[in-house]
Amino acid sequence: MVYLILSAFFTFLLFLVRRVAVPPSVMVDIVLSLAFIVIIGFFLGKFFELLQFPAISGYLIAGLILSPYSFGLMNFEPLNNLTFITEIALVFIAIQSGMEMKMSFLKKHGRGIIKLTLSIACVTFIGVFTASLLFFQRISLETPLKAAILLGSLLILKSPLSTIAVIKESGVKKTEMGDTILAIAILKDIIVILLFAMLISLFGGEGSSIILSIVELIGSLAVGVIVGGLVALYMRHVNVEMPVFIFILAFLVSQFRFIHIDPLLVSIITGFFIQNFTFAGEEFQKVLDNISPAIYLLFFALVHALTDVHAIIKVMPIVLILIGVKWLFTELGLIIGTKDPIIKKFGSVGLINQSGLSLVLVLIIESTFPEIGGIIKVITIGVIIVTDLFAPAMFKHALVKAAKERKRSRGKTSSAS
Amino acid sequence: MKEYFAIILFVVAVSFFSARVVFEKKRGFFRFAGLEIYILGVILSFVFSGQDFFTSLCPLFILALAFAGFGFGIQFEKGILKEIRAKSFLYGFLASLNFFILFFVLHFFYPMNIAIPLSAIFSIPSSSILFSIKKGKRPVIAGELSIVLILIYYTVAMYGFKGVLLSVVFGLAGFLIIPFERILKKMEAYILALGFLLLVASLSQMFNTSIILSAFFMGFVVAFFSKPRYSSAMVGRIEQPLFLSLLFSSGLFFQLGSIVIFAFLIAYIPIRFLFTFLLFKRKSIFFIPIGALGIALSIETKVPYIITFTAISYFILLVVFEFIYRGEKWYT
Repeated sequence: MVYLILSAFFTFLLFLVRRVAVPPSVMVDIVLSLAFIVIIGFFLGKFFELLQFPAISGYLIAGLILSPYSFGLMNFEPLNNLTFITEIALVFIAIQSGMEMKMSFLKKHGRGIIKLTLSIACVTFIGVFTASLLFFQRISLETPLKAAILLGSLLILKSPLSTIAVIKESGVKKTEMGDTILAIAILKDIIVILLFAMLISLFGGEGSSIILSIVELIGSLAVGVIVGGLVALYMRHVNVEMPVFIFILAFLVSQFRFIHIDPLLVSIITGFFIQNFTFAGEEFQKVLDNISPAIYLLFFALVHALTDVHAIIKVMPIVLILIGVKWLFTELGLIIGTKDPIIKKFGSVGLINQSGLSLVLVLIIESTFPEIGGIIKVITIGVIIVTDLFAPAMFKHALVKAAKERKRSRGKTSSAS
Repeated sequence: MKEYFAIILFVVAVSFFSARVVFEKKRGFFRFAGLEIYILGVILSFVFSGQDFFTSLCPLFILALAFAGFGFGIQFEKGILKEIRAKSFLYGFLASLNFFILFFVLHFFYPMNIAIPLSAIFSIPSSSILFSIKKGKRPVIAGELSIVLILIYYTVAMYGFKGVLLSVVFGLAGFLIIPFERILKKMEAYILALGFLLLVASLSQMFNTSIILSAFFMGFVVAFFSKPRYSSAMVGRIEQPLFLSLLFSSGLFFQLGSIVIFAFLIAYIPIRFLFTFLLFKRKSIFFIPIGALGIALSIETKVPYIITFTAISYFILLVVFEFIYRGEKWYT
């Protein structure tokens, strides 16, 4: 409660400051905005953490409260000047997503998990794609098919990071259900990212072709491997000032877009390569974990501060429909893909939460396809907000129930035998 | 504008990083910490120009100034203050009179808004060098007290008593850091402290008072009323890159201006030395160099030739100091 009071107090303080004084320059306004984003975002994040929600939900709500669209507490210009922070943070988050993909983990789960993931991903895509196509046609969007394909691919995602966090918080150690959901989340990330790189290259305007997009894709993969190798070399021979090194690395990688190399794909491959093919995986992961709270806070709060709250409210009906469709079709995918009754029963709850990575991808869509990027961004953020509010708590509950049920069924089997 | 800001942040990060790597690998190319980064700033000052560029430096300045003040304030732990005797206060006060001597001379030649900061910059010793005094704590404490007093004189002269009062009020934000230091994790405590520093710095700018003094009071509150676990560590961690960014920024403002005043200020150093010699005898050599606070104050003035004077004097005085004081290994 103290955290909520403090965030309310600082929001009120910002309101008072805006009433009493005017920043002498935009740059002072930038510092002021950044200060309040950090403080209010931090307190709201802690408040949500105490309520057993992800801290990201708090950052996200802080961003929405401080958004110039909502109460006019901040101005557009300083926030626009801070977007380079989100670009750097984006690379950081993508590297971290790549780090989550552990080959050993995937090997352990074998083909079954790949089959299950593909089944869920395809079925969910079909469901969300159809629903969003109908919606985009209804609002007479210029290119409804393209928008529906992109949104459909986005909503497949499920956050591995939040999955890990919920499994840890639930206190249930080593459950099949937890392991399966995590493996699906990681595999989904790989599928969507590869799919996205292809889609962006394909839809990326005149002159794009499949060959060109494949060349760009291979180029990005190669650069990712090289960057990963360089990081490992650095860690072996120098290993000084890792946070500064990561900042420099993220800044450089974010500039790769100017040479037609996808920064996101490069980052994911970098993370993947470091984790699976070098000695430095564990240590690099520790450094990333150490600095990630600051990065998440800045990224999620800043992105949401530039989001039109009224637009989210307007699209709320379609957001709720899409969440319903995603849930329903995930359930269908589970029915098709697995024989395990417990995963069939509880699995969909764990797969409904929308990933933070989708926010990263949506920003790329927004800059690449401005004509449809706005509406896709608003819908995706709506889905993130709604699912973040209820999905983690439900998943935690489902994990505990699934563990109990598994124990009971094992008890029955052993007593029968 | 945001591109400039991003580039500057990047350049500072790269420079700091390379300096650290060189330092860690013990290849002592750079004897005087920061000289290379200052030269880099000077070179870039010929490449970048225009209002947009300099305006976009502002957030970096603000943060660096806030850290300079906070880092200084957080040294004043209860334990140190308990050691202060009345004599140290007297010596501190007497050492701070340097400010008035210099101001008395300078105000004949310069308008107030130049004479006041110049007097403050050239009468503030380097806090980190004072702390390198091994035996006899009196000069350290007196020197630190003199810095506080000079900061207050400067703020009163530039912003009036209202400025000092506002700085004290903003500094109370330190009380918000204290309870969280005990319950938060290290990185969380860093984030929160950084948020409050940014807040205090921006409010100081908006309500027209010294960022350095406000941040100093904030650091002082944290150090005096608690045993800072993380804030001191954060200062230790971030102080160096931010100090280098101050030097880098100084380089960007490179402009020689009048050589006469430069010569005058250098000539003033022996006078200052003699004055402090009367108080602290052989220890007075520790009062020679200008520290991070002096450079921060020069940047707060936003007057290019004052910034250039200060930076060049910083390096010259550092060389002089090392020439006199040999044998000890130190790093600013």
